[in-house]
Parts: sequence; structure tokens; C-alpha cells
Amino acid sequence: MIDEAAPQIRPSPPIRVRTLFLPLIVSTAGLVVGGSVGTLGPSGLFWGAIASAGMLIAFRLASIAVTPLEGGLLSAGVVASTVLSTLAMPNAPESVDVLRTVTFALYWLPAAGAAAFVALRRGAARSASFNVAVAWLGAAALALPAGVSFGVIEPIESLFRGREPVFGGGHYAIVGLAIGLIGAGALLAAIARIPSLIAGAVVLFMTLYAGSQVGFSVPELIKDFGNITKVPNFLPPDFKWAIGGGDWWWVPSWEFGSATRANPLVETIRIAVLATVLGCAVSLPLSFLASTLTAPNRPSYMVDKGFINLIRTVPDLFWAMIFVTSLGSGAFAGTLALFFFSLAIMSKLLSETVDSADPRPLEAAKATGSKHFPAVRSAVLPQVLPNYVAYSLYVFEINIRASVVLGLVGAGGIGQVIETQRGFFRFDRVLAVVILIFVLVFVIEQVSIALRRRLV
Amino acid sequence: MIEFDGVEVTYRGGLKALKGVTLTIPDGELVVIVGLSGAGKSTLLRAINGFVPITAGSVRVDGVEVRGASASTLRELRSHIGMIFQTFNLVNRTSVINNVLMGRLSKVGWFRAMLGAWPAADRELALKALERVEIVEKAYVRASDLSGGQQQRVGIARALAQEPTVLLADEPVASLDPVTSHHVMRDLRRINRDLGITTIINLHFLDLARAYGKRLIGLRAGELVYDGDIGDVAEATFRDIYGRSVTPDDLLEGAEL
Amino acid sequence: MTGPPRSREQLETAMRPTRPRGQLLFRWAIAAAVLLPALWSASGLNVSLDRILGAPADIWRIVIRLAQPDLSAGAVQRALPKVMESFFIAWIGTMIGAFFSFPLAFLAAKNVSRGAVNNPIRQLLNAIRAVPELLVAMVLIPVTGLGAWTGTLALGIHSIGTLGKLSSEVIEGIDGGPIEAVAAVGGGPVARMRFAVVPQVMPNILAYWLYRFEINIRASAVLGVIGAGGVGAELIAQLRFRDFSRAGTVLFLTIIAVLSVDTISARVRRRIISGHREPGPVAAYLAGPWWKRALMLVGVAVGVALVVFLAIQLQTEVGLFDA
Repeated sequence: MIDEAAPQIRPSPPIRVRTLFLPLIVSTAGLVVGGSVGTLGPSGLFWGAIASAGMLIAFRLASIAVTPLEGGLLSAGVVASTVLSTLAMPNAPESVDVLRTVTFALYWLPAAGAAAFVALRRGAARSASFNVAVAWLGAAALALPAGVSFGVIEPIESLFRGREPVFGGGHYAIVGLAIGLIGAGALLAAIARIPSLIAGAVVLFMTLYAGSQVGFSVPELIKDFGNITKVPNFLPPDFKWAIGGGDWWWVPSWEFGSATRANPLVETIRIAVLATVLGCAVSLPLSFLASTLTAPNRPSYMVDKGFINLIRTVPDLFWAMIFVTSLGSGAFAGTLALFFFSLAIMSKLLSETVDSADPRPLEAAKATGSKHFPAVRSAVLPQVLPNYVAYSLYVFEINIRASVVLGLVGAGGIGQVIETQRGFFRFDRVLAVVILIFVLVFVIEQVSIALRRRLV
Repeated sequence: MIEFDGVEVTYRGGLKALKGVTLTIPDGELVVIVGLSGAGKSTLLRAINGFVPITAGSVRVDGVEVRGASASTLRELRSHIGMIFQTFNLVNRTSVINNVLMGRLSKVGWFRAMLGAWPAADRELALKALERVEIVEKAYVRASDLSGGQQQRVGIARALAQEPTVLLADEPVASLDPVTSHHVMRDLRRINRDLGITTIINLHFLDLARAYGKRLIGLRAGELVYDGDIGDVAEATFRDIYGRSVTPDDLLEGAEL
Repeated sequence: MTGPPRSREQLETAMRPTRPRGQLLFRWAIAAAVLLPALWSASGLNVSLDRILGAPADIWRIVIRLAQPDLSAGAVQRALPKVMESFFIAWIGTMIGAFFSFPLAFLAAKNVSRGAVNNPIRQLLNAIRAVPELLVAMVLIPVTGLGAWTGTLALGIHSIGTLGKLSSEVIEGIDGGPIEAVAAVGGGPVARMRFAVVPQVMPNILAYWLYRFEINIRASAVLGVIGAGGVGAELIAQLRFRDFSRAGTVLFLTIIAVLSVDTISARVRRRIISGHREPGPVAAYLAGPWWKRALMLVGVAVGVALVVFLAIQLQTEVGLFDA
């Protein structure tokens, strides 16, 4: 009998990300509107008032109850911060620099402090409240560079054309957008205990900012690809030249260098094979030193782990450039570059596998009075050997792909052919060679994947 | 001869696992240690081969002091102390014979060990050890393909391959079913009798202790509460060790004591 | 062994299994399969012994100069925007990859889409993956011109391939029970994805996106080699001028950037996969005893002051962030 069940207290549903979208938009809108009308009068005060009104409406919409004291505090903080920042920076700075960014961020301390305090009073964790303050300051620090760098500012600014201080209008709107998105997002997320909202705000803002930096623009994109057929020397790919008359029918040869010169495609494969074998061989002992399970002592672990992490940060072609500079161009430099590259990948993968190996056989081996490395060899190596073989194949796949591009910096292989033809603007030949490489890499990869699947 | 003199072990968290344990185990004896989990059975065993560093007192094995021994002394000591584990601690992905050969690690040179190039004499020894636990026909099978009881016998063979003078068995049958438990315990007793290896076994089950032990050591909260012949053990003794009456849970087959 | 066994010992020996020959043969085959191609490769690279012996000295000469980067304001000011550009390229590239690979991953997963759909999509993803980013960029340059946007697109396209494959593998690895459950209450294909698949796969897919971002940072660094934006052009230019301390600056800044991205990303990934918060430095600070808090507060204050001071110094000297 459902009706007759004893009345129970139902928990109120938690505030979800979706419920916070509208409040977030409202509070951000408050900051944006405040910023864009900031030119009208005593700008800071005006901006702050609108912004804090937006913030309070946001709380209302999100059904987050704030006491008058908290609301007042928040308003006071936002107003103080906006007044400070507009007073200190009434005109657009000619350039954005660290000092300006930092001082501008510091002006937002009152707002950050108030927000953190309100979050704390509303039951957010102390670390979450701390994060709220950091988010406000971070947003303020990001806002100025964003406001200056954004190209999308012009349409807004044209609304205020003719009026005196240009900075107040358009730029402060962007400033408000940045601070509103991140800061208000953090505040609401902390109170509603939804950390993903702040993460979302930061990601969104970073994407917009980075997008403007790399020149993302939809109309340009459409225009570019409208031109695709008009690009000269591109289509159709010149397969006839690419396949040419080789030494053997399946190995193409290009009009490249002297007769003594190795076939570039074969050279590419040679580089990849040798670098894989050497890199994987050397990384085997290194990986055991770089795992807490099998390192003989703390210092050797730290040194080796540090070394691996360091070489892992250097991209493959940077290695190639360094070795080409020190050893001259050619396959030797390329092989060394890929050797270090494979060393880094393999050591990372294998040392992590060693970390998760079963430590108990090692204990048993130690109990027989064995020295450290023989014990590791007998007890841990057999556990990770299948993974090691699979990783070796994986590294080989990566190396095949990487060795193709080595030639672009003069480190041997087929990349040199591409680089030369690119220099002649023979993009049809470039495309033909690229397609040829693609087929080769694809086949090798599929074989390797099939092998790996059987192994593990 | 193993001599404990006022041994105390305090773990880094402050837990006192052994409190002033003094006892002597003469060569060739079979000793069973019983106690609740957490009573310090494992710690006692691991103090003998230096796996657990003792914080006070002294442990001497054949006159060699374990406390504060150098790494090479410890290795030398461990090379003639075989150890058998509750979870077998075999390398699953390699063959049985390779697992047994691990017992020879302390005897072969560094390079031979690293290359896995075992001398023929050591291979012979490993096969002999497998024969003693009657599992030689599985020598070239992967360890993971064996049943639990077979795996534990491989563990025993690994310890025997060391040609040990002392055998430490840390809950050797806790992961096994009753029938294989008896098999493994019989193996251990036979090895003790035939080879005269001092054997110290941690056990949880009282009936197994009574069936296979000669001398019983009872531990309770890190203290030695009983040390004597197993024939003299009465219900009162078990109550001393366990702090309560014996229940079917303390027996392997759930039968009456 | 000839004749009947005479003793018990010999009888036992006779019962021993023989050492399997197949394993040994297999081992030799593997060794040959590794060593022969390696020898073939080494023989074809036209490297003389004295060149190999001389190589460490030659490399050391350069590396020791690279290891002394020119950290003067001018050098940093020149290289830093390029490093930042690489960062932005990687970020947007990853975003493009994530955005397009997400729906494709569902179409490519064998357990949630039909064979007629998942086979071609999977092959398409494999095909995209097989072309290195640099080659994609090279083909794109005639279309979109030199610059960061070309590199971004190239990274994005390549990321679609890799992320699509990894994500579809995550989807293939899920527990089928919830799908049946949603279907049992009458859920259509979209509902099945939304309520049964996405909640299971999202943490792992997010972690792969972050992982791809780490890889893309490295990849975008080298795009500059062919003029597709980023820090690579700067490095190659400095190395051509043989200005090794300036090249060192570029390397140094790149390594710093990659290391910090790696560290942060690895931390976030762990957090996403484990699903619970690990106590971070802030939590440790808030939980410690008062003297520890005071000590950390002082430490943080000194650190912040140092950074601000350095920034002001750098700014007044050279205008670090002036565009």
C-alpha cells in the first residue's frame, strides 16, 4: 500500500551542473554588462554594482540562500575590485606585460576574499574556498591578456565608437567575461560542491583564448578549403615519378643524390629497425632502475627516473636537430635521435609495468640469499617479458612513423626526398610520396598490431 | 641452532609485534608456531632470516647474530635458510624448473645468474628437489598452470634447492584445501625427518599442528605463552593462546579437537 | 641410456621429463629475428667505426653548450611566445581531436555499432593514424598557408585518428549489462549510449584526451620545422646560426613547458581515473598542525614574492610580456 507508507523525509536533490548554467550566465552577464557600460560615468562603481547585482541574482536562481551579510560582503568585494581596477587602469594599456597583469590581478583581491569567505560560510570545504579565491585571482590575471589579444572585441567596440576612453567599453567587457566565467563558476561550483564546473569554465576560456592565438576562424577555413582545387602543383599526385624505376620492382628509387647514396625508403626502415633494437635493449636495465620495486637504492632510482623524464620531454625531431648539428646530416644522426626517442618511450612504459609487477616472487628470491640484480632477473623479468616484447613492437611502429619525418631536418631517410620536392614546389610529388609512405606505414602497423595481440 | 634472546620488534607505525621472546630451537627439530592472526607468528619467522629487523634483544642462527648484520652476512645467512610462503610467491610466467633454480641464486656467479645459464650440477639439484616433492614430471610446465597444492610443492622444492639447514614455512597451507594441506604438511614432516633440516612452521589450524608437530610454540599479542611438547597441550593451553575456547573455525576440517 | 635401470636413483632419473626443445629453438629464432634485421640495418647506414667512436665527443661538445642556455631577458622574450604558441596549438589540436573523435569512437566500437558501420570507420581511423602529423601539415600548407593554424589542423586531424581508436577500445571494453538494462526498460540507441555507455567510458576517455594533450605538446613543438607554427622553427634557426646558447634557451623553455604540462596532466588524469580527490598541497596545508601551516604560509609567501619580484625585474628590464 503505497499511500499508507509512513512519511519519510526526502533529501533535497543536489544542485547539478545544469541548474548552475543559468546562474553562471547571469553573473557573467552582470560583469560583461557592467564592463561595457563602464565608460558612461564613474565607471568602476557602475560596473561593480551591475556585477554584484548579477551575482546576487545568480544565487537566487540557483536556489542558494545567502544571508544579507554574505550578499553585502560579496557586493562590497566586487565593487571595491572593479573600482580599484578601473581607477588604476582607465585607459587601455598599450601593451600587456607581467607587471600590469599581476597588479591587475591584485586589485581583485577584495572580490576574491569575499567570494572565498562566502563559499566557506555556505559549507564549502576549506580547500575549495581557497580554490575559489585562487580562481578569482587567476581569472583576473588571465583577463587582461585575453581582453587585448581577442580579435572578437572589435564588433563590441564599434558600438562605442566615437566615445572617449576606448578601453572602458569593449575591453572591460572581455575582462568581465573572463572573470565571470572562471571566478563566478568557481564560487558557484564550490558552494554547490561541483568541481567539474570550474574545470569546464577554465577549459572553455582556455580554448577560446588559445583559439584566438592560433588563428582559428571559421570564414577563413571555409575560404581555404574553397581554394583547394586551385592550389597549383598539388593534384593529381605524381605516382609515376614516385614509383619510378627502382633497383627492385617493389623498391622505388628517386632522382636523389649520387649513385652511392642509399635508397631513401630502405634507409628509413633501416633507421627505424636499428634505433628500435638498440633503444629497447638499452632501456631494459634502465627501466628496472627506474622502478621503486626493483631499484637497488633510492639515489639510483632518483637519478635514473630523472634522466628518463628529462629525455622524455625532448621531442623526436629536436633530438634529430641536435644530432644533425653535432654529427652532420645523414642517417647516423637520425638513428641516434630515434634511439633516444625509443629509449624514453620504452623506459617509461616498461618501468610502469615493473612497478605493477608482483613483488612476492622477488621477496622469495631475496629469501634465498640472492644478490639484488640476479633476484630481479629471476623473479621480475619473466613477469614483464611479454609486455616488453609487445612494447618493442609498439616502439617499432612509432619509430617507423618518426623515421619518415627525420629527413625534414636532414637526418636521413625518405623525409629528405619530401623536403627536396617541397623545395621545388612539386606538391604533386610530395603527395604521391606521402601516400606511398602511408601505405607502407599502414601495412607495417597492422602486422605489428596483429603480432602484439597474439603476444599479450 | 636458533637462539632468541629477549627479542622485541616494533614496527615503524609503533606497533609492537614481538615482546621479549626468548627461546632456543636445536638443530633438526620440527617446531609449530600457533597463534591468532596478528599475534606475531610471521614476525617471529621473519626475524630469523632478517626480513624483519629486530629492535631489541638478539637472534642468533648457528651462532651468527642477525641483528645489525651486514648485507653480505645476511645474504650468506639467508642462503642456507629456505623459506616457504603462504601465497607460494612463484614467478607465474616462467617454468617450474626456473622457479626452483631461483633457490640456487646465491650459489652461482653474478653473470651466470643474469644470463640464466645454470650449471648442470644446479639443474640436477633442482630436479632432485622436485623429485623429493614428487612433482618432477611438471618441471617444464609454466608455474601458473599448476594447482595450488602443486605450486606450494614447487615452493618447497625451491627452498630445498638451497640445500638449507633451516626451513621457515609461513602459513604454508593457509591458501590450500584440506586434502592438499595434509599432503604439503606430510611433505614437510618427511623432509624434516629424512634430511634433518630444522623446520619451523606457522600454522593457524590447531588440528594440523597437533597432527604434524612435535614441539609447539604459542604466541599471543607478541608474547610467548606456551613452549613445550605438543602431546602435553590441553584445552586450557589453547585458551591461553587464543584468549577463548577453540571453535570449529580454528580447525582445518571443522572437527572436534 | 642403455640397459635396464639398476638402482632406484636411476629409475627416478629415467622418469624425468626431457627438456623441451621447442622453447630453445623459439629462443634462437627470436634472437635471429631481432639481430639479423639489426645487422642488415647497421650495415646499410654507411657509418665508419671512427665516426661512432668520435660521436660521443662531438655530441658532448654541442650538448655542453646547449646546457648553458642564454637566459637573458632578450633571449627569453624571443623564445617564450613561440613556446606559448606551441602550447596553444597543442590545446586546440587536442580539442579538435576530442570533438570529432568522440562520436566516431562510438561508431567504430564493435559492441555498440553494426559491422557495416564500424568496419569502415575503424579503417578510416587507422588510416588517419598512420600519417605522421608533420606529413599532414605538409600536405595542408599549400591549402591553409604557413602558420600556426596549419599546424593546429594537422595535430587535430592526427588526434582524431589516435583518440578515436583509443576511445573506441575503451567503449569495446565496457560491461554489457547496463546496455541490456537500458534496452530492457525501453531505451532507444541514443538512450543506451547516454545512460549505459557514456557514464562507464567517460573517465577513461577524458584521461586519454589529457594524455593526447601531453603528446601533442611535443608534436606541436616540432611542427615549426616545416613552418607550421610553434617553437620548432626557432630551434632550427638558432641551430643553423650555430647560436647554441640561444638554441639552449629554446630547448630549456620547451622542456620546462613539457614537464609542467606532464606533471599537471598526470595528476589530473590520476584524479579522473581514481574518481576521488587525492590530498593536494592545499589540503595538506589546511590539515597540518599550526606551526606547519605557518611554515608553509611563509614558504608560499616567499615564493610568491620571489615570482612577483622576478616578474617586475624582468618587466622593467625588458618588458617580458610585451607583444
